[in-house]
Amino acid sequence: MNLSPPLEIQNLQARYSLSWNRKSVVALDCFNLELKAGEIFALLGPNGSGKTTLFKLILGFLKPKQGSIFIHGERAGTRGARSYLGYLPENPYFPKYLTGREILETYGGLSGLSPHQLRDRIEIILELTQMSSFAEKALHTYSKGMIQRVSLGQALIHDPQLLLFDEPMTGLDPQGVDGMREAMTKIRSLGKTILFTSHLLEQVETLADRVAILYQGKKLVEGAIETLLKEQKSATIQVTGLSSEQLAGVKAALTDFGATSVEMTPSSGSLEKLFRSYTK
Amino acid sequence: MRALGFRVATLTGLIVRELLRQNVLYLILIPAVLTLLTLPLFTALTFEEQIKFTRDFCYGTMSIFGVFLAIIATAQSISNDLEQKTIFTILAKPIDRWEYLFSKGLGMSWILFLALLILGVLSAGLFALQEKGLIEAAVGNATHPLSAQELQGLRDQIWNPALLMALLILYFKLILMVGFTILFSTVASSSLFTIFTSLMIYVIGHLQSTAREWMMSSEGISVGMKWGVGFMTVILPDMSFYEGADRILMGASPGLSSLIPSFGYTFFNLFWILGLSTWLFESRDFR
Amino acid sequence: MKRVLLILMIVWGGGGKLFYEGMNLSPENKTSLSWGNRFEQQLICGVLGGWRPVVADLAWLRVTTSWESRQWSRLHENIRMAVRMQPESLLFWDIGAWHLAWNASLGERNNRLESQMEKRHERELYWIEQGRSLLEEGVRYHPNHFKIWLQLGLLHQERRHDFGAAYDCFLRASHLEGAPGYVARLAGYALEKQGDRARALEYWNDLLERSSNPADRTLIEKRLLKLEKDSMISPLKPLP
Repeated sequence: MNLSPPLEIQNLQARYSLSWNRKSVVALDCFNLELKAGEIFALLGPNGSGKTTLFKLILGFLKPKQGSIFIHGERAGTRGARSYLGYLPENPYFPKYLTGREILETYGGLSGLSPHQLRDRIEIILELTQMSSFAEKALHTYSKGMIQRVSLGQALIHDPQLLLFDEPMTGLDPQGVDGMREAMTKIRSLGKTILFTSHLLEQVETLADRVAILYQGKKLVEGAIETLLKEQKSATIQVTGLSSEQLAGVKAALTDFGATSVEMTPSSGSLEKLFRSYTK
Repeated sequence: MRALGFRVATLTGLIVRELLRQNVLYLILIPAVLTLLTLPLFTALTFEEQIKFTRDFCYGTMSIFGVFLAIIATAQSISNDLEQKTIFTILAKPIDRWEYLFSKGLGMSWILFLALLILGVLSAGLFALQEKGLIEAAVGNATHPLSAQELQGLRDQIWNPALLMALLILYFKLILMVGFTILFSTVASSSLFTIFTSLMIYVIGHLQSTAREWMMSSEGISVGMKWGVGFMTVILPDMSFYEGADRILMGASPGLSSLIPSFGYTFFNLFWILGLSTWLFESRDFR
Repeated sequence: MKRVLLILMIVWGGGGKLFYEGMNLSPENKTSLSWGNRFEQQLICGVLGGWRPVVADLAWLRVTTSWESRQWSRLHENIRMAVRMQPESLLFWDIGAWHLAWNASLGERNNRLESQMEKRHERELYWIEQGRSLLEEGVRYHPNHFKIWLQLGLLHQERRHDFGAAYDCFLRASHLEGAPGYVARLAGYALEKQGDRARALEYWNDLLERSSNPADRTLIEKRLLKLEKDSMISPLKPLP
């Protein structure tokens, strides 16, 4: 049992140069993070905030300008570090000429599993991801939901301790979203740690133990969802039966009381508010 | 070590499966087979000329399509992984980048073996047809019937066992080209660039030995020119190591030891190519 | 550690490459060619790859059809194309020169469409010279192959009646690997035809001494006896 934290990031800085003018852009700056074993951690942030860059740094696809990343005590990018990682990409990057089962066999083999180990492991994964019914069909015949399940299967095939899920629910129908949420909960119950990104804030709110909000390469806030939400100096007032003129009057009255901002849009969840308040 | 074996075997299997299930292999192999099948359309005058032509034609087909297969399939395979981003899921697994490159090379060498086997068997079939034709012509020629000894001489020319050595030399040459294509793929951003550069290297590689000798023996060459040519010869492959196959096609029957230069040269080249490719590939960022 | 290993791989593999290349310098059969010719040949190899011999063979097929239709210029062009594409093929030089110096030149001699005999003779000589020139180029590619020297000797002897040059070629051919015994005897006949009996006698005696094959010795002895008979000079004593 490895007692080192599943993920430990210290003072991470990453830059990339724009090919057309060689200008260097900061993708991540002074980023620190430590995950606890068995938790689900969500990374929130608008497009271009550095979420995917962070995943690529953890996986070793990119090298940091400075700082360090350790996965269960192994430096990111090494084979040892990747043996602890399972990666579910935002878009499925698999050879399309393979069947679902072949994908699992291939990625299991790439992880160094013997054919004997693979046989047992594949059965477990097929059950966990509920892909038995279509496992023998070629990937190009799959729907988005089916592909996502294969993707989840390959990420789990070598029984990794830390899972990186990049937008796991994007593009899925409600059933697919439920299935993914269920799978993630099950994975957590097995003692695994999950780091994921998502735009579906309602899902994040019900699933994640902790969140961090990234904006323009910087971490703005991090903590347990409940704590963060309590810290918000905001309240939701639900009003019914008022005309638009009366609503405008309420808004003016709240402003008179000293409110810095008043939103009159229907509430879609407090995490969303939290997110908007940090990233607007 | 066992896990390494499983990883390499899986990746090797993946590229073999990729080529067998996708069009690249067939797009190259089918024209090669069709080209070979046109052989009976060509007729020559003398038995000796017919035998030479059949041999040249079969070997030429294997050689040219083999080079295309080695370069295009290797470049496509790696650039497909990069362009379709399969590389992200592959390298996310506990696999070293050298293992990825090595397995690509190993997979390609299997594919080339398979392709040469198919074309070689087809060529043997054409040789057998030719032998049959020769016997019929010899028996049917009332004015100048071939003696049994002459007929045996022609048979020996058709079934020269050294032709298998020529095939082996061709195989080494193709594997060397796979190595160079992998090297360029590690820095290239498009398969077109890789294919073009590898083909250029293949062509220029034929000039390497002459350029080297010219540089070493000629007087009055400027120092800059000498350094330039010297640098080129260090980097480029010397394709004259594979000329043994041409000599076999011309009827020579050298001993097995004549394979040593082409084998040794390929082996050493693959070593430094794998080293440099791994270095470059490890330094590469995947965005 | 990994970097060190990679550097070792590059240095060791690269060193092996350069070592092999150092050993591969100057294949002897290429050294008589000019740099231009060698670059040209290697470039053709590179550009055409495995098709080079096939292109040569296709040109050679056209040689055959040109011969049948008696198109001598086309025949010449295709022979040149074949040897340029595949100079390693002895067959192209050998048969190509035969086509030029025998078939084309005799074809011109018997060309009834040409009424002026002088012109016919001129054309006949032209093709003989083309054949000679082809073989002289061929020996630069194959300086160690007896067949091409033999063919050049035959051309000098049969078509140009230059027995001195024929003798030189036959003599050279006879010293090369694989040359059958009759090649050395052809040199002796060439000396006789040149009219230089003294040298011929000296040559035959010398050849007799060198010959170990009983069949060859018998033939040489017969030749010496014939010479003795013809000139009434003892074969045992060379002419002053």
